[in-house]
Amino acid sequence: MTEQMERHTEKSADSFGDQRLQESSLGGVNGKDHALIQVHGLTVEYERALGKNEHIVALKNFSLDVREGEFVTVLGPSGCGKSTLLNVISGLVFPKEGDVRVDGKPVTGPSPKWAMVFQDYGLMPWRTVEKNVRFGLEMQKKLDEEAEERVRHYIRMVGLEGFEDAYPRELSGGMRQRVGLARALAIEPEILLMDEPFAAVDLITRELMQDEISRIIAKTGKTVIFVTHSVDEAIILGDRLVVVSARPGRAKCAIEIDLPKPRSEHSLRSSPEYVSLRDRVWSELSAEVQLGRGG
Amino acid sequence: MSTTSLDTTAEGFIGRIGSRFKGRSGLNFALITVVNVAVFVIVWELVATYSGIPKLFLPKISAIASDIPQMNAEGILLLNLWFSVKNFFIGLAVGVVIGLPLAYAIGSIKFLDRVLSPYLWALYSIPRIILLPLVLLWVGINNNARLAIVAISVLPSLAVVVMDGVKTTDATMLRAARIFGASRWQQFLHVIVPSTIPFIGTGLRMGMLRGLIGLYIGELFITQNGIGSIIAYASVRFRTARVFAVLLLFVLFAVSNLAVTRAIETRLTRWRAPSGL
Ligand SMILES: Nc1ncnc2c1ncn2[C@@H]1O[C@H](COP(=O)(O)OP(=O)(O)OP(=O)(O)O)[C@@H](O)[C@H]1O
Ligand SMILES: [Mg+2]
Repeated sequence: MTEQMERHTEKSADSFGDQRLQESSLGGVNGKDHALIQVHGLTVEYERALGKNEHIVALKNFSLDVREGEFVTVLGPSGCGKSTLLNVISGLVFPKEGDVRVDGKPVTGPSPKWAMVFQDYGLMPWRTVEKNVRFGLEMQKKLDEEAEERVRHYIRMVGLEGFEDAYPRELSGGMRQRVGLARALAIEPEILLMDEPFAAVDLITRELMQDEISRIIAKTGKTVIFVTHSVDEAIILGDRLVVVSARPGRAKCAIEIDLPKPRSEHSLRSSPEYVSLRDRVWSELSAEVQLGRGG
Repeated sequence: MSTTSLDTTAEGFIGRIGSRFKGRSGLNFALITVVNVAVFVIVWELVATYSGIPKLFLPKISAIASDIPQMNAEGILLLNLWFSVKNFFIGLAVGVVIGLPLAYAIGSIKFLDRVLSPYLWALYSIPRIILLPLVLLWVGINNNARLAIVAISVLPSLAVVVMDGVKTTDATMLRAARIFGASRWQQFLHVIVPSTIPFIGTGLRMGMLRGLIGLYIGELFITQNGIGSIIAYASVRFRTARVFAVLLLFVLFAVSNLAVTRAIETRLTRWRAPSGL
């Protein structure tokens, strides 16, 4: 019985993969041969708070292309500039050199085309769940009947119905993160930027949330850049995995992950492909972590 | 979903503990206050009656309390009380209307912070008793001087607290607001203002305390009207009970002001975790 079900899911996963292939080749036919997000030669410097003319080079000549509908996971040692990368892509921080283009147009500031999910949630504690989810639509002055329906829809999608009137302090970490996710989804962005969204939740919640993210992204077909500290998470969620070098960060290597979807850490742990992939990523990453420590 | 039901029970559990905790401590607190006040009143009355201290120095508390309706009967209470209370509230309003925008401006604009905050801190740290002669010189020995002394007491206390509140606004929250398309005005309205409400509460309470001291100083120096005139008149005639009665009213006014501010603040910040949990 279970065997049959497993085979069934594997089959559907395969056909999903085929669809993906077709889609990306179709993209080429439609003249969309460029990537949706083009990050080109980024150099970002921060001024030190103390000490004049001293700079921290967070990113140096960082380039990355992300295809439409792709789920890219980003791994790298602490302080290598991953959050900086997302801040530049979202238009909050401007690079010293290089540029970011979305759909071929340079990014000049925040846009309703993308949204962010934060590690420390960034929820407004004085807003209830519903009002937090509604936040983006409210700021963009798009609160009509349809938007209200959308708010309810995404609250349901992340499994928070019944908690509409709860304040963030009344929620667990995982629930708060789901509010952050629903808030981002509610503006229906093409691109979802996620900065270590599950770093503050416990392991079991984390696995459940990973499943949920995969499911939601598969359903909504968004392009995702997902920063994480966890090698397993990066492999389980990503279509492609990018390892960032020690600071100043640049894209050290990108690894395509063609394990069948949907994936779960539990079932993959014994697969030899997964184990060898994991080893490879580990060695790439630990080299950088040691470099970062030594420097 | 299994997580949801798990979270529900956890939430409900915390909620139950929370409400029981709050209920019991609320009752305890009321009881403690009543007993505290009663003991104070009884001890005062006993000491004043049996210790042999002349009533010129320590009148009985019953005499103090009964002097309040007496003053009212003489027709001097309400009018003068109204003078002082009015001055206090106008002074408070002036302090808030200038202090609050100033605090937001200094808190959010670095240049203004550099230029203006030293003056604010200076005003905050100068004892009002030193400023009083200057105020009297500028404004004249009249009601406006009282009002001014209250305003310059309230303004810096409120402003220094709120301006620090603005500076410590949560960075992720501001980032979130910007990412979701908030204009500068919307960031101010939807992030900075709500997150500084607790600071406004604290600043207002500190400002009121200092403002009340300012009011009292003003009352001692300006004695044509207001409760200051009652105190001046009564102390010249050695009517100590009356001086105490006015002080008692003053303390009651101060305490009820603080209680009202606290209550409003609690209502406005129900989203905060109850303290102690
Ligand atoms: N606002 C800032 N001002 C000054 N320096 C900054 C600022 N933000 C980041 N930095 C510096 O830039 C570097 C990269 O920071 P960033 O937050 O992008 O790293 P990260 O890869 O996200 O790290 P982590 O994995 O720990 O979150 C760090 O050395 C940090 O000290
Ligand atoms: Mg980071």
